Amino acid sequence: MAYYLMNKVVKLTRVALGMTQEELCEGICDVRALSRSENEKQGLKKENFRKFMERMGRVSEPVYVVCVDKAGGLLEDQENMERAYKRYDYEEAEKYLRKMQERADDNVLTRQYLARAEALMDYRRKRMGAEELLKRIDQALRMTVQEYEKYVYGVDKVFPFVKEELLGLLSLGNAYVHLGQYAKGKQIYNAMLRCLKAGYMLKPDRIAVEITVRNSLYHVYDKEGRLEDALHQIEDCLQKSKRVDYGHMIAPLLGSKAYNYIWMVKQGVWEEDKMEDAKRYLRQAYYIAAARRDNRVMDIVKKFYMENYGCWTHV
Amino acid sequence: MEKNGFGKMVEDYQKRYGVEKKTIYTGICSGASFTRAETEERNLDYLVIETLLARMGKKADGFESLLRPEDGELWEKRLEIKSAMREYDFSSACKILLDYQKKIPKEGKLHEQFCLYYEMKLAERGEESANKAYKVGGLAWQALQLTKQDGELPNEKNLYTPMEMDLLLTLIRYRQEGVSLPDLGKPGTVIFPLDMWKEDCRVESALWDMTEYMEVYYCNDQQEEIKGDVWLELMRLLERSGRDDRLRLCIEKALESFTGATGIRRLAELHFTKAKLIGRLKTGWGGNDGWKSLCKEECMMAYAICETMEMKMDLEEIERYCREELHWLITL
Repeated sequence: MAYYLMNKVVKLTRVALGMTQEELCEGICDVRALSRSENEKQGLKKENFRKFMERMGRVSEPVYVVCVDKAGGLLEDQENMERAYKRYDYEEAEKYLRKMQERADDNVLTRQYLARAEALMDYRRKRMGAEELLKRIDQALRMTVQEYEKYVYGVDKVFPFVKEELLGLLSLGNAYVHLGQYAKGKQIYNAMLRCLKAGYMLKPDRIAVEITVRNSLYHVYDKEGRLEDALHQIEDCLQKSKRVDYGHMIAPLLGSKAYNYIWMVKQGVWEEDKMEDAKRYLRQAYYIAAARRDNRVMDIVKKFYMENYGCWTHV
Repeated sequence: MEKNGFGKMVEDYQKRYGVEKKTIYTGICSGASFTRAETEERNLDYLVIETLLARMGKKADGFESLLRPEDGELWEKRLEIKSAMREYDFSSACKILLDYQKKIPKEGKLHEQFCLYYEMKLAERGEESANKAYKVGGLAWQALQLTKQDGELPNEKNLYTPMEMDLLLTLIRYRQEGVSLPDLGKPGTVIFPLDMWKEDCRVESALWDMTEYMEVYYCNDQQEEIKGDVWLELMRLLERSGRDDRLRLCIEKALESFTGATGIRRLAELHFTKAKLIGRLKTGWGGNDGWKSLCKEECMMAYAICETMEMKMDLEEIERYCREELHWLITL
């Protein structure tokens, strides 16, 4: 369950939309009640919260489900799809996606989730390019935040995007990066980090989203040849992943760390002795992947190890 | 106004698993509150919803919740306690728990259960003493009694949250200690809640049943921790009783259930136990002669996890085992 702080969400949404406290409170409650809540001196009444959110065009239920089917159940296939996606088994993931689409309810949150999932699937299965992906993710985002770009490309704007919207933004940033538009990608990633920093989303989801954003950011730095900056992001991701036991990220991150170490040595920035550290990270990555029975990561790590150190020595 | 989807979800769950509503809410909230939440006339407290979802083994990820600042503060404290415990930082966990206890609402049974659960965890991690079993067993019993009074094991008519399951596991773990506790239902009398677990065969059967229960009802990543705990408890039991054939089956099933899991901490102990079993049997997993290298590979997997996750105590144990049993200095 992703948790958000009511008072912060109301305040950040109001400010982002450019509404005054008076405008938001008109006909709902006394301005002082909103002001006290925004200053964290007092909680909001749930009824007022609903009315405020409705007025600002956002989901007004304090607790809600993101993905539901016509019969009303949570879409269990959602989890299976995400699992298959994590294993890079797109064929299997697509089977679940199609089942979800058949059963999905017509509410906007479910539609938004499925629109993003389908766009990513078509892209991963090479049925369309990054340009088309951009368009479709953009459409999905506009389903709930019509003018989202105002909060992304401004220098200091913050909007309390919910998790699904943040993941949509991440996909958008990644699509720009795939098109070689690094500056635009970074702008999106940094906007996301700025929003997360505002503290309206609680841990551990805040940390989980931050890990994925920083993970994307380091790929851009890598592409730009900014290896030290990339390394900084990798280190940050690793520390955070350890803290929340985000184990599936750890082996790939250790592999990336080794990759950056080796490049720094090859470019003469670091001394040769760092090659031994890199070797150790690769072996750590390999055995963690083996413990998780993740053959894909094991193969990648082993291949990279052999390219740089010759043969792989088993115990 | 939008519907929050909770009622629809419960209806679907009942149909899918054929369980009665009562098995979902008993001990957590009243039938009337549950019905109001189901018909979406009223929103339940976030913690109640989360616990109901946990009973259903549901992926709470699909839900989003907006909290008041005081609830948000409590939520973050709960996470800090869990995180401090995971990192063996018991003094911080204890401090945060005390602070949490001061801030919880007076009539919050689920908050109370959370506090007792972590008091129990801290007592279990504390120094050995004559009354340790009494204290740990007593706290586990008290905590479990807050939401489960029937003493029945998990099954389709008696759903358990992961926390309830862990409390039950603790009672099983301390079963040999003969703990007596005052019977809250009958003042002046005592009960022996752990006595029913005296026989190993009964415990083994219960633990296998629990693994089957989890296969059906805990089908997502978020239940990994408790799944690992149950498997490990079963493995420890089989290891102690020297039933290597069953231990081998248990390890394989456990590792299978962890394939593609998000967390990796539990995997270290699973692989290390597998290594020790190979070392004891002195045969390869497939009956070949390469047992030593297979054993070392398993140790390496456990070692890599412990080193990366900074699990110092476990790391030392693996190093010691490799040195003493395999005459090998383990290093990456």
